[in-house]
Amino acid sequence: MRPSIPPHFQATLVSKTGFLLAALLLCAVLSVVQLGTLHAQTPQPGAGSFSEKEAQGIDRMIMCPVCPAETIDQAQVEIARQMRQMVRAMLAEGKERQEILEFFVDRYGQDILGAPPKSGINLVAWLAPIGGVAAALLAVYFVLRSMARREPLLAESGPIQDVGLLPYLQLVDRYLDMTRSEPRLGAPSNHPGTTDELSGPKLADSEEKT
Amino acid sequence: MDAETVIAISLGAALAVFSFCVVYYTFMRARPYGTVEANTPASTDDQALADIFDAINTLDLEYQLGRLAEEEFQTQFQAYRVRAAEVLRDQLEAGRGDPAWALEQEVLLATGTQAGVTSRVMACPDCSSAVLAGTPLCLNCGAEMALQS
Amino acid sequence: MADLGAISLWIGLALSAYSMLGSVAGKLRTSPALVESARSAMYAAGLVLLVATLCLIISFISRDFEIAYVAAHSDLAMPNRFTWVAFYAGNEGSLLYIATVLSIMSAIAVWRAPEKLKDAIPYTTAVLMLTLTFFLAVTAVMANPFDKLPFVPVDGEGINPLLTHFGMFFHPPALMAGLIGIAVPFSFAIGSLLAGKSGDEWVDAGRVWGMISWVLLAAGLLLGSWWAYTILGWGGFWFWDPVENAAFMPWLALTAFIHSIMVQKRRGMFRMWNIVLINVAFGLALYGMFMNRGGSVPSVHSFGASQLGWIFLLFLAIGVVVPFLIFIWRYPLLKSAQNLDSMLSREAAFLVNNMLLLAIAFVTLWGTVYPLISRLTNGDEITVARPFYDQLNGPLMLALVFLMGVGPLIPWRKSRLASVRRSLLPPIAGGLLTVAILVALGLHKDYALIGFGLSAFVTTGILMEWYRGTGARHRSSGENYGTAFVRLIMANRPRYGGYIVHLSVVMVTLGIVGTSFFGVQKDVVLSPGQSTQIEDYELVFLGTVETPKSNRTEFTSTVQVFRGGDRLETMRTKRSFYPNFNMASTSAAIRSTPVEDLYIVPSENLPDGSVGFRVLVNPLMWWMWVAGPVMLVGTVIALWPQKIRVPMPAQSPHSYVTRPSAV
Repeated sequence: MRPSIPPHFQATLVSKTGFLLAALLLCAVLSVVQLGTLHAQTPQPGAGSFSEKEAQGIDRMIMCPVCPAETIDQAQVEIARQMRQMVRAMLAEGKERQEILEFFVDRYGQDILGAPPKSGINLVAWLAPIGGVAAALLAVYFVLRSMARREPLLAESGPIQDVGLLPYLQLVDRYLDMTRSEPRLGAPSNHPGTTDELSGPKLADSEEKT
Repeated sequence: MDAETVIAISLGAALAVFSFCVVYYTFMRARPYGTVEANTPASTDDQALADIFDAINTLDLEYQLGRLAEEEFQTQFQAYRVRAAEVLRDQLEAGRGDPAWALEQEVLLATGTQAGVTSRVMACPDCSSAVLAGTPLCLNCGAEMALQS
Repeated sequence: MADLGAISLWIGLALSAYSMLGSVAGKLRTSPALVESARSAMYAAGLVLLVATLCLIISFISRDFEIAYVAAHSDLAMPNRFTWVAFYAGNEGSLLYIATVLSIMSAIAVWRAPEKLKDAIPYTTAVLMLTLTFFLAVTAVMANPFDKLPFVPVDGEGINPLLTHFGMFFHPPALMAGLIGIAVPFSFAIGSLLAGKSGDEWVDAGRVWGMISWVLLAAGLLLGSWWAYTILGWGGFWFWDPVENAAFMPWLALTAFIHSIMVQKRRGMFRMWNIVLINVAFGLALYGMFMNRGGSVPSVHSFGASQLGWIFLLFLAIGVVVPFLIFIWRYPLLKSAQNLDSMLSREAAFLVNNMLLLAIAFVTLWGTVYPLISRLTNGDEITVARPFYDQLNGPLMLALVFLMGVGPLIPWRKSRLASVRRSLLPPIAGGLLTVAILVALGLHKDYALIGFGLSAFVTTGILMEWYRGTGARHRSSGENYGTAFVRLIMANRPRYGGYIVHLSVVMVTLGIVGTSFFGVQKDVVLSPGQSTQIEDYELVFLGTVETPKSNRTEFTSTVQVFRGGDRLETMRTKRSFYPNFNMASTSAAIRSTPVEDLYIVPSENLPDGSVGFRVLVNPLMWWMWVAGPVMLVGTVIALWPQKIRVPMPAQSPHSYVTRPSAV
């Protein structure tokens, strides 16, 4: 089934329609996204002289002392509630985030913070993964490069030498004819729409091909 | 010992006996493998051909999507084609086959209507196996087939 | 019933031990009879364990409180349907569940194993049965669900209220099945190595069972997040709890595995790497199960510190060291069949994908063990929690999403930069367009912009490929677009199933980015009749109704939701107090739309009738839950056996016989 439109022109038409459809779909998705996220940026009616968002951000840095692996932002126990109130009280006094965090560290110890401090010996907690990952990706790059440099293990293409293979090639060709569709019009071309003879170099005359 | 415990224990015993019988019976009647240690070469396995044709399928798709250049497509396609023929030859030489082919073949030939493929079946004069018309050599026994149109 | 259950358990243990030893002995002494009977023993073990499971279920339903486990996890007031959850509420039952699932999976895997694996199957059976024997031994000896109390209590202790949520019916079973399911591809790999196979025979079975475990684990993780979201009452769904991490890491390794196994299937490459990868995945799964049994780190999930922790640690050590020794022993056999043709190829992209996934796993593992290291080396007590993981894993996950968009556009073996650039144009355009529009509309958070841009990038790429593929097929075969699309998917099931799964990952990304960066939270105390405002919603608290029930008191608070003067909905949120457990559980009221979730949960009921509420608006949360079914559909398509017709030489070489390609 050959269309009457020259292949490469048709390919561009397809791409254009494709773009249009993609753009339409994108708009649909975007409208959902922006509806959801945009009005979340409107400023909150603030209570006191700090933003609730900031308080919540600090809450997420501080662990609840009695709960397993929960921040005071998550935990529902009384002490977590009290600590949240303390954070807001300190913010209202005008204290900075760092001062508030240090206050809690003084009172409860270093492990009240949800993450290791980025200083001193604990810097290794941050550097080790970052360094390790960077090193691994670099290693992958070099491994791939060395793999790609090696000679291909199996000799590919070239003229078919083995005459004994002919009948089997015929069989394969016959089978491929039966199961694959007619010649492809694939690439939006930088080559003009040539018709493809898929069997390539002919090895034997097959009378079946019309 | 109340009734329930007795029932439970007897059921348990029955289960134990059943399991033992299953294990023992299978042991006794197991047919000898012969090739417990044999290492069948990968190319004679059923899967090898299917994998190659699957790869050709993917190659076609990638070409259709414009990911492959013409030369690249042709090179890889030829390589797969040759490899498929090699695997087919290996399979034949290893004597693998399916006795149910006859019915399958007739059904497929009856339904296969691809243009350009004549689908008449002939019988080889030497070994009487079914051969598609137009093949110069019987692929089973190698005898020359009379050319028919 | 308890006796029958206990007997079955011991019979099962005996059968699995026999199966393990018989397989190995039969193989070493070339006795096919022994191998066959060992295989039957495995099937029988599955049957017997089903009997044991049935006994426990019946004991629960008949409220046989003489059995310690039944008494500890149920009571007279418990409705029968909670038997399902009560089964795995404690160590004993969940171990029995794991053992039963493993025996059934093993039986199916070995029964359906392809012919070409017949030399390796005895070893595969042995490895599977070794794992089963371990679990059964631990269950029977240290945590027997059928242990009896010296007296019969009048009533049981009741089921943990946190478990009575709908999600709990599926999250633990899916998760545990996924974790133990990793044993199956692992056993195929090790079995193949032990049998001295150097080729790719195990890859088909490994891929199928890898994907089955993967989807079970993914479902378990998503369901767990959903459960946390709706019942834990803090409005979030994941907080890098050590046990969450312990289940997340094997999932990451499995994701890497199912990608790189495709390379081995297609090209015979990465043979060594895949063995290493499945070893790592299995080790992490064992670690996950160890963490669950009272590991060294406290967590929401701990079944309570128990002796089991140590025995699991031992098995974990063996399960990691021995396979690696086997790998090193068989190392010379594992040479790749082919080399990399080009760095710009799908194979290379898969390797980068593996690295990123393992990087995330490494960061997670590092964060889990760092507190221990710190404590041991310099005595400092350091906590590693959400802030750490968010900062490190966030960028890595974004990089992974980017790769997910680029990878599918690169063909196998070799590609030219020009072709790739051409394929990349529409997705890049889509991504940049999205970012531009969002910026123009007022969105300025960097990470959120990147997240949304990348999501658009990936989605555009996938849809473009679907569109072009359908178009090409339509042109060449004359089918109409609808048929062409369906046929396209059916002709390339692993690929298109994979695309659908990628789309589900994009949905999860949307959910995560939306809630992380744009979620709004407010804690407020309201007395009846008071109202409060959040975003553009107005919430009016009507009042609380107290309902005493048999084992708890329920406080149901009703809130009316208005927007712009219109009444949207009346939401009811519940807080139940269980005096037996001295625990309160909350049931959040969630109004969920594709745009955002309105989430109301009570945190305390004060004596004067006022209620402390936590109110949240979570944008795009809905997408994350919808991703679950989409992921399932994608996996089913990818796993669906595809009949590939091959020319099959028989007595005559001209016959054409269908052969299933996967499974």
